[in-house]
Amino acid sequence: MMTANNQSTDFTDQGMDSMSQRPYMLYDGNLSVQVQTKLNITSAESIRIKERISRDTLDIPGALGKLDKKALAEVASLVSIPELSGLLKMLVKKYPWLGHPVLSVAHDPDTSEPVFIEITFPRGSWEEWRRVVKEVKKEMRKAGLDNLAAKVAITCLQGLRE
Amino acid sequence: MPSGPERVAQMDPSEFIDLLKKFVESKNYNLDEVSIRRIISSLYFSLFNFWANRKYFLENKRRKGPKQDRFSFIEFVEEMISNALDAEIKLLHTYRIAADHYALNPTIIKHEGRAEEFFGIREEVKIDESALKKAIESAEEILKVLLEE
Repeated sequence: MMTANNQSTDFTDQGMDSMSQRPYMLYDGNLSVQVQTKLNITSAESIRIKERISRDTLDIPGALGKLDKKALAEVASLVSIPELSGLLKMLVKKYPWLGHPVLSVAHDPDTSEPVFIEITFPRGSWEEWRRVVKEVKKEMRKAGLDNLAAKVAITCLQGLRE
Repeated sequence: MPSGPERVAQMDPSEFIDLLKKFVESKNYNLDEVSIRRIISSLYFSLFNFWANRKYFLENKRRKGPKQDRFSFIEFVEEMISNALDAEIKLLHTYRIAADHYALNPTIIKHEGRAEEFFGIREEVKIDESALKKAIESAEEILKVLLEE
């Protein structure tokens, strides 16, 4: 259990449990397998992924940035959407001063394969950025979210620029 | 050329990073932009070369090239992320790109890949002594993890 400011931010809290009760399989494991072999997903599938992420991240306006349908499918191929949504929610709740996060996907320039997802915050000093990453990834490992920890990078633009 | 652990030890950048740190911290020099750019780039590549040699000789990994010894930057970055070194590798990677490939300072980095994925995210960087200090800190943190593995 991870706590900060007297608020529970466990990845398996009520929100995550209730989410996992919903029919996620279409968007989680099944879709992940599907999009790895069929990245040219249809617009309808893309809209469904987008809707699902949006629904889970309603309190995070703009988190999807301008990800196109291929990028959305790549996100789903790399990580579990419910876990990613849970992480986004937790980050926004625990570190509101970092601002609104935006998602993007990093690719291998040789193969064009998606490699990891980047969650970018506008604020957060260099020291704060390092501390937040260490805290969050430690808790992710504790919660058994090893794949998510390995596939998601957290960036604070302020820390990069200052 | 030695092989195995001996080769890996040969590519250990501990001494090099320490040397650069001492050089930068000594107040005998006013570092110009050329020096800062070259130091940032060399920090990154000293770590990358060490990591790649570890992969090749200690983990028996094979990649591209006639000797299957050409590893990708993104694989390096990915592994650092999985070790919770997001900030350190992102900073070093981004500033290395700025130092080696961009003429202006400050400048704005656009990563390879489809541009639309990075809309709204402008990575503005300034190559100066503050960036150099963070690059050295980052290199030390990354090296620590590589040596622990």
